[in-house]
Amino acid sequence: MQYKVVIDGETVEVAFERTATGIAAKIGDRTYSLDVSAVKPGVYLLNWGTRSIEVAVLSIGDMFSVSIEGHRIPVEILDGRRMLQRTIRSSDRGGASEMRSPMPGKIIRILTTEGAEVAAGQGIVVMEAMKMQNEIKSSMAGRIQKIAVAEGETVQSGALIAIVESVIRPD
Amino acid sequence: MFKKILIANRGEIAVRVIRACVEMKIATVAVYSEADRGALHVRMADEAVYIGPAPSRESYLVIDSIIRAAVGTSADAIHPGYGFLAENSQFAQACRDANLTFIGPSPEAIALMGSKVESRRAVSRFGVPMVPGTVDPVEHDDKAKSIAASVGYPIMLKASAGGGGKGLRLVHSESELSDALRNTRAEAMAAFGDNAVYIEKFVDKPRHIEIQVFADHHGNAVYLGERECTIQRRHQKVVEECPSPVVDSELRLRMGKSALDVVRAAKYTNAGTVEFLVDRNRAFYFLEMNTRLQVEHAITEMVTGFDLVKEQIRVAAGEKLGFSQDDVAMQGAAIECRIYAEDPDNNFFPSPGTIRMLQTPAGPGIRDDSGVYEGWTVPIDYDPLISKLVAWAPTRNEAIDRMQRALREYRVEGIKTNLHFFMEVLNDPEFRNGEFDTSFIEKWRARRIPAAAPSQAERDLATLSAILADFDRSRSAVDRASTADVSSESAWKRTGRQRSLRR
Repeated sequence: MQYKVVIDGETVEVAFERTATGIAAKIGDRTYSLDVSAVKPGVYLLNWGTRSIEVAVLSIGDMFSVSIEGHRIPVEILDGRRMLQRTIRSSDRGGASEMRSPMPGKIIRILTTEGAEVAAGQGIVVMEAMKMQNEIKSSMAGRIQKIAVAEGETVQSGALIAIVESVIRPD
Repeated sequence: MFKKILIANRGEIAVRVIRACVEMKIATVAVYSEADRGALHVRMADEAVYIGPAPSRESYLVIDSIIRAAVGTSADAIHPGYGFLAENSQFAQACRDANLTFIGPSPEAIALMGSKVESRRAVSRFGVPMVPGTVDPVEHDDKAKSIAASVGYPIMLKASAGGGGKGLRLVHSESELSDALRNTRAEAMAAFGDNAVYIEKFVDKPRHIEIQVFADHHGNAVYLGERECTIQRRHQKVVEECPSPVVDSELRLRMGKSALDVVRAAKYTNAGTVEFLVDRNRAFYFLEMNTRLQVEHAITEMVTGFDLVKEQIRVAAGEKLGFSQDDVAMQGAAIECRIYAEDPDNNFFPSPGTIRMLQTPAGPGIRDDSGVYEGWTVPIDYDPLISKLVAWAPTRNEAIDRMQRALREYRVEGIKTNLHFFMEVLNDPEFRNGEFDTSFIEKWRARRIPAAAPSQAERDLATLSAILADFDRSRSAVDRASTADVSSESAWKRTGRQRSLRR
C-alpha cells in the first residue's frame, strides 16, 4: 500500500506491506525488511537485520508520536483512502463550529459567503490535495460567521477554514 | 506497636510509608482528594478516606479533616510523609491533642527549627558553625564596616525581608560597601517596603550537603552519613547522592558531630536532616534543619542498609533506636534522580496528564519509588514528582553507570518527563568528576550539547512504526467492538490474542 507521511515536517512516500512476520517497505530508495513483535498495545519490537529496536507509538488524534532510541518523533499519515473518507475536523465551541483543514492543500474554490446560511453536509470550499479535489463540508446547519481562507491560498493541516455558528430561530 | 497508621500524604511517599507498614503488619489508612480517587496510594492502602476537593488547602492541608479521618478509622498514629503538614507544628499538636501519635518530632522541635532566627540562636549555643555575620539588621555604615571587616570580604548584603534572590548584593571590598549598602536598602525598600539589611560572609562555590540524623525518646542519637544535594534548579534538588564525592571520613565525623549538636539543641526525636553549606576549603555552615523524612532518604537507606521509615515508626512507638553509631557503616554509593512530569526544554514547566505507557527499570541495584501507574492521570494540583529512581553500586562510577542503564529502560509516554535531562547530566564530565557547586545546572545549560538528531534509519523506522500502529488500530477497532462485553478478561490474554490475530 502507498502512504504519504509527514515526519517531523518532511513529507515522504512510503510503499508498505505487512508480511507474515513483519513489514516490507520502501521509503524513497531505501528498502526495509523487518520482523515485528507486538510487545503490548502501542509497543513494537522491530528486528532489523540483527538489530533489535523497541519503539512506542502513541496516537494523538490523527497524529502519531513515535519514541525510538531516546527520540520522540511526530508522524502524520496522509493516505489517500483516509483523506477521501475523512470529513472535516470540527470542534464545537458553544454553538459555533470551527472547520479545519484535514490536510495540507490548496483552496480551489469558495462555495459560499460570510453571513450565508448553510445546511449540514453542504460544501463550503473545494480543496485540492494530493492531486484530488475534495469538498470541505459543514458538519452542522447554521450561518457562516467567518471564512478564513481565500481562493488560491495554500493551507496547512489543521488550518482554520471557516466558522459556522448555529442559528436559533424564535418559535 | 501501632495497629493502624493513617498516612497524611499522597503520591510516592504515601506508597513508601504503606510499604513499610505492610512489612510491619500494620494496617494502613490512605486519605485522598477529589483528584486522587484511584491514585496508587489509595489502591495500596487497606482503607481510604476522602478528605476534600483537589486543591491541597482544601484537602491534604486541612488538619481537622485528617484528624477526623484518623479518629474515624481508629488509627493510632499518623505518618505525615514530607511536604503538606509534615513540618506544621500545629498539626503535630493536633495529633497529640487527639491522642494520636505523630510519627515525627515534637511540635516544640518543629516550631523551634521552623524559625530561622530562633533555630540559629538555639544551635549557636551548642557551637554549631554558622555563616559568619549578623542576623539582626545593621543600621549604621560604621557598624557595617566593622562587622564586614570581622567576617572578612567578600560579604553578602541581604535584605531582612528578602527572598527570591531580591535584595542581595555581593561586596568584594570595603571601598564598595557604602554604595552597596545604599543600593541594597533602596532595593529592599522598593521590593519589600522594609530597608533593613544584614551582613553574611559570602560562601563561594558552595555545596549543599546534609546529614541524616535519628534520635529516640531514650536519649540515643546517631547520624547516618551525608547526602550530596548540590545539584538544584530553582532551589529544588534534582539529583542527590550518598556519599558526597567531597566528604571523607574526617569531614563526615565533624559534620556528624555538629548535626548531633543540633539534635540536642532542638531536643529532637525521630528522623531529621541537618542541612549545611560546605565551601571550597571544606568549612561547613549550618543552614537549617528539616524536621521530617526527606524526599531523598532512599539513598541513605541503600548505603546504610537501614529502613528509615520502619525506624521512624518504631521510635514513634517508644522503642529504642535499633542501631548505635558504631553500627552505621556506609557501603557503596547511591544516586537518586527525581523523575518529574515536566519539560526540561521549556524551563522545567510542569507537564501533567495521562500516562499512556509506563515501563519501569529493574535489575541489580535499582529501586524505583513510584507513585503512579500506566493509565494514571498526573493531577495538575500537586508537585509533579512521579517517581524517585535510585541506583546503588559498590562505587560512585558504577552507580552512575547503573543509573544511566536504568534511565534507558525507563519509558514514560503521554506526558513529558525529565528522563532525558538526567541522561545528559549524568553524561556530563564535571558531574562524573564530582566537581560541581550550586550553579551546576545554570552552567551546564550554557555548555550543554543538544542531543543528536535522529538518524535517517531511525526516522524511517519511526515512519514505519506509525503506519504499523495505524494499520493495527483500524483492526483493533474491530477487535474492541467484538470484545467490549468481556472487558474483565485479562489484558495479557487480550494482547496475546490480538497478537495472534495479527499474524
